[in-house]
Amino acid sequence: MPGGYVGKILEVDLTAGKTKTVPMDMEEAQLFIGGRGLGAKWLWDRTKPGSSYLDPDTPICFISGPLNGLPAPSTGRLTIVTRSASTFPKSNPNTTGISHSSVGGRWTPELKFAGYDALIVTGAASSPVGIVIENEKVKIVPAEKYWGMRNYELQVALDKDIGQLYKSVYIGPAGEKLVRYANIMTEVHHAAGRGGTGAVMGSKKLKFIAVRGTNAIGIHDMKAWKKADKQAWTELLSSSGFEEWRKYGTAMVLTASSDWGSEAVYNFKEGTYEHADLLSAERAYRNLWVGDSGCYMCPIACLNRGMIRTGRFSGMTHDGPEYEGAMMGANCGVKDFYGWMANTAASDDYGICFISMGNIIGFCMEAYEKGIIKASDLDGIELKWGDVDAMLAIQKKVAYGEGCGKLLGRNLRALVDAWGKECEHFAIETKGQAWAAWNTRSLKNYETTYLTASRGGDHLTGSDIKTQNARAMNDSLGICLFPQIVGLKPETIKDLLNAAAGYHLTMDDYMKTADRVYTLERSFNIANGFARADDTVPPRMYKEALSKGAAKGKILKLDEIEKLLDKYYADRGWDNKGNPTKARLEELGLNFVQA
Amino acid sequence: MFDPNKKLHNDVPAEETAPEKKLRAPNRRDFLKGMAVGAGAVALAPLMADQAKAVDIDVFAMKPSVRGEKVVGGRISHDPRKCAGCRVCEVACALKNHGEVNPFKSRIRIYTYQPTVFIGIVCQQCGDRPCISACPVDPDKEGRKAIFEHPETKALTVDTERCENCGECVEACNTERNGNLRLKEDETPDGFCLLCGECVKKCPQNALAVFPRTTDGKYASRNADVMAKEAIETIYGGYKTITDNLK
Repeated sequence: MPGGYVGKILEVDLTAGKTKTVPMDMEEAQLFIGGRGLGAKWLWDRTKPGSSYLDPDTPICFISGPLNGLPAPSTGRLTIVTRSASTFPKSNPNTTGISHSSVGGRWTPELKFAGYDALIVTGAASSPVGIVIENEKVKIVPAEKYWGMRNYELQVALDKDIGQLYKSVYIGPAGEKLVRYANIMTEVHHAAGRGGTGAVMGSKKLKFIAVRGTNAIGIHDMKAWKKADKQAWTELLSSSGFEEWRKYGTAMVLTASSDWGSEAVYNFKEGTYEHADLLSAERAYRNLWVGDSGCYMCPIACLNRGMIRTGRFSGMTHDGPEYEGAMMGANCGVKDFYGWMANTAASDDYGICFISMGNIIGFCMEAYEKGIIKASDLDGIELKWGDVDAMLAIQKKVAYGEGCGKLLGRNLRALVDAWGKECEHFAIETKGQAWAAWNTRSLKNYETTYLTASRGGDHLTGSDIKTQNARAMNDSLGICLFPQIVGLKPETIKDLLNAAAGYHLTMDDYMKTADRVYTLERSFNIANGFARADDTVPPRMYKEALSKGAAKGKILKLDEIEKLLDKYYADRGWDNKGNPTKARLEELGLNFVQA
Repeated sequence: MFDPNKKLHNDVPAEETAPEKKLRAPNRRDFLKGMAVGAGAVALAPLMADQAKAVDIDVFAMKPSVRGEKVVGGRISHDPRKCAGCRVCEVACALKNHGEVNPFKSRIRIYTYQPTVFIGIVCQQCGDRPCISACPVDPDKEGRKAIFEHPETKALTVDTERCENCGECVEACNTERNGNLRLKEDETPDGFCLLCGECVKKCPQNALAVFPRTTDGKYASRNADVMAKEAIETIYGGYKTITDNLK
C-alpha cells in the first residue's frame, strides 16, 4: 500500500449477520479517489435503478478518503453515500436519487487506524444492532438497550459501555422512525445532515457503529508531503478571515447574509431579517459560548461550545448557533434567542436535520398563517411565526413519528399533496430536498447550486463548475470544505494527495477526476428517472420578488434559468437535456454508463 | 547498564528560531463574499497566493517555551478550556517520536467527554515519581533503576534493556495517577513524555503549555474522569443533557 489508503474495505451484511474484509480495488481508487467519488461508483454498481432507499439491498457506505487521518489540516471528514430518502424524480416518485452526506468529528480517521478505507453495510437486521470495530475484530452486537435513546444519552452510554477511546456514529429516534430527513451523527453535535441517511441506517435497524484503531497510515512520499503540508498550514493559518472563523464559526455570516438579502427569512419570502441582530454570532459570543470545539486535525475549530445560563432553558448545552441554524431562526420568524438554541439542540438530540426541519416548519407556519391548515391539522399545535414552543412540540412529534409528525416527517411534496396545490408556490425544494439557509434572487447565479446539485436542494455543492469540482474532490478526499474557504488552495490539496498516495495528478487531472465523480452522480440520477425537468427552482423564486432590504425587488426569471442550465450542461459536456453525452462519458472513463 | 554517552531517542535537536510573523489585517468583506458566492476559493486565490508567497515561515515555531530550546525540568499541561479536540498533538507526537501517523503511539492522549470537553492525558513528571518507586530493578551506580529521569531534560525515561516487564510502574501510574503509562505488546511500558515540546509547538489552540514540575502529581496527574468532571463543572456548571428541559 503506497500511502494515504490503508487498502481494505469492511463489508457487513446485516441480514446474514456476517462481516468480511475485502481488498480495496486500487485502480478504482485511482479513478474515483475515495469518499464521494468511490461512493458514486459503488452505488452505481450495487443498486438496481428504480429501487427504494428502504430496500434492504440498498448499501449505505461510510467512506474515507486518502487524506483522512493524515497530519494535514482538517482531514477528519466522513462521506456517507447511499440512496437519498429525500430526492424524487417527477417521473417516478417511488425511487430516489443519490445522496452524499459529509460529517466531521473524529470517526473517520479511527476507521483508517482500524485498517479500513470504507465500511459498506447492506441488508437489514431483524432487531436493533450496533457494529463494533477494533482493528481486525468486528462484531455485530445487540442494541435493544440503546434503541429509542436520543443522541446525547446514547453518546454517554456508548462511552461507558464500549469505551472512551472508541468513536461512534449513530442515529437518534428520528432515524429509527425513518424520518425522511433523519441524520447520522457523531459526538452529539456533528451531523451528516442532508439526504435522510439516518432513515436508511434506521431501516437496517442499525443504531450505531463504534470503531477504534491502533495502526498507522502510510505516506508515500514523505519529502513531498512535508513540503505540501507546510504550505497547507501556512496558507490556512496566515489567511485573513482565519481568526474570525475560529472565533465565530459559520454564525458570523448570519447578519451579513441578512444584509445582502440572501438569508432564508419567513419561509424564504424575504432575504433580510428585521431581527437579525437578535440572532447573531455576537450575541452568541457574549451570552452563550464557553469555548471552541472542532474536528480532527482542524485548527479552525469552527464549532462553539455553549450553555444557556438564564431563562427557562437554563442548563442546556449545545454547539450552536451555526449559519444554517437560520433555518430554525429567521426562516421561522423566531426572535427568542434561547428558544432558537433549544430548537437546534433538540434537532441534534433527536437526530433530525435542522435544515430540512426548519424549512418544513417555515412552510407549515406559512400554510397556517394563510389559513390553509388549522391547529387541528397539527394535533392542536398553533404554529405561529416565531413560536419556539410550538416548534419544539412539532420536532418531538416528527422525531417519534407521532400524530401529525408522520406526515411532517416526510417531505414538502407530501405536504403539498396533502394540503393543496396552492402550497406549491412556497414549497422551497429542488428534487424534493428542502433548501438550506441561502436564499436566491439576491446573489448572482447562486441558484446554480440548488439547480444542479446531485443531491437535490443543496447549498454546498457550489455555484460554478470550478467550485463544484474542487468541493467534489474535498468530499472524495476526506478533507473539510472550510479551510478552502479560508485560504487553502485546491492546488495544495492536490499536492497533498499526490504525496500521500503516490499519484501524479496535475490540476487538469484533479478537476477531471471531479468531473468524473460529478458526471457519474448525474448518470446515477438519470438512470433512476431524473431529467432536466427536475432541475428546478420553486415558484416563489420567479413569481415573487424580495420586498425588503438591499435586494428589494430582485426576482429570478425563468428564461434566464433556462439559459443558465443550457450553459451549465454544455460546460459539463452534457447534452441539452442534461444527460452526459456518450463522448463525454468515454472521455471521463465512464464507459460502463450506457449513454 | 545506563550509558551516559548513549544517544537517547529523546535527545531533541535545537530548532531554528523563526522570523516574526506578519499578518495582513483581516478583511471581512473579502472573506464573507467568498463564503456566500461559493467561488471564494477561486476569487480569493490571487490574494492568497501573494499572501502565501510573502509569508515563508514556520507558523508553528511561535511558542516561546519551545522556540529553539529543549524543555528542561517541566511538564506538559493541557487546558480543557481551550482544547478543541483536534488531536494534532497526538499525531505530532507519534510522527516525531515514532515516525508513524498513528495516535495510538502518541504519549499524549485526548479523551472526549459530554457535554463537550476534551481532556488531555500526558505524563505529568510527578515530582514524587510513584512509577520509579514501584520499579523493582536495582539502582545502578548512578542511582538509576530501569525507569529514571533523563539526565538533561529530566523527563521520565525507560531503559528497555534493563526493564523486567513486571508492569509495576504502569500499575502505580494507573492506580495513583492519570494512567498515562501503559504496557506495549512486548510488555515494556510506554507513554513516556520526552518533553520534546512538539505537541506544544503544534497545538493550534494554544491549549498546551510547559508548566513547572509539581512536587507530587496528585493534582496535576488526576485521571481523565476526575478532570473531566472538574472541567464540566467549571465550564458548564455541572452535567446536563441538552434536552433535560424538553420532556
